Amino acid sequence: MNAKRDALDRLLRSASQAPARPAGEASFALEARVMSSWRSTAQGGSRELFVVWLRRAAICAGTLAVASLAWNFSEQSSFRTQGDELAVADAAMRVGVDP
Amino acid sequence: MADTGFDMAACLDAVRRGDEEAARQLFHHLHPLVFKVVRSHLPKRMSDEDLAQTVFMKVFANLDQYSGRAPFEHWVSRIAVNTCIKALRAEMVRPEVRWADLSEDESDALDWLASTDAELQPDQSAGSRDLVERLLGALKPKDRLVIELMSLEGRSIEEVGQITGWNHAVIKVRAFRARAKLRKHLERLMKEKKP
Repeated sequence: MNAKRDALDRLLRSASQAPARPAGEASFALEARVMSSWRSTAQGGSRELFVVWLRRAAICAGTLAVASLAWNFSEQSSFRTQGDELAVADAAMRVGVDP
Repeated sequence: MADTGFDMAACLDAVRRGDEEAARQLFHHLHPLVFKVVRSHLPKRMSDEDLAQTVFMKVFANLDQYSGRAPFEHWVSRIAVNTCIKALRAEMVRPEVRWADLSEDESDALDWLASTDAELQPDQSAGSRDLVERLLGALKPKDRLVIELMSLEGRSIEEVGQITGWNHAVIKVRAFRARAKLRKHLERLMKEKKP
């Protein structure tokens, strides 16, 4: 087992000493493709910014609408409860006054 | 990146402002780094230029997300490594390494390992590098990456953590398991040779 482990270590040590392949000069084709892509990204930047802004505005508006609906619902339900309590009290008074 | 005459911060500002000449300079400055990473982790059926182009496009498209906390080269390396892992994952086939497929240099290195306990000779390093790359092709992308970064490039756990975003425990466990798998493939290849 040790000899085999040693074989892997020796192989990796030797491989790590292999000279790195030179990157060489950037090819014109690659440079042209990358620069073309960068240009389209740079030009589309303001439009993308507007889209991002629009998306955020829509999210804010949606959140406000949901919050408003929730508040409205809670207000209505609390009013309904108050109304019920008043009706019970009124009925009790009527029963007390007119037996 | 030992290029001391290159002002990275100024260049990045200029690129963000839309300066094309600065973008070109940045491309040339990063070219050796990106190619080094891409060639170390290149899937079999993909050209290094295609993968490098994908990396550069991601770098330029996400330039605004670079916070400046880590050196820019680390950020680029991380993008390059993640792009390579994604490409390697897409390459579903991980072929078994067979003795008959080895080149002369690779089988020479394997012969040496099987026959002696001595270190490989300096002129065998290219063959052993090719053999390791062939064996790594049979591993999963993350296992392959951790072996390449730690065993071949000699990076520390901290550096691997910076490049990959993995924590130290994950790196140690992954390195241990990846070496075990690599050893298994090497042993099988050596056994195949022996009879």
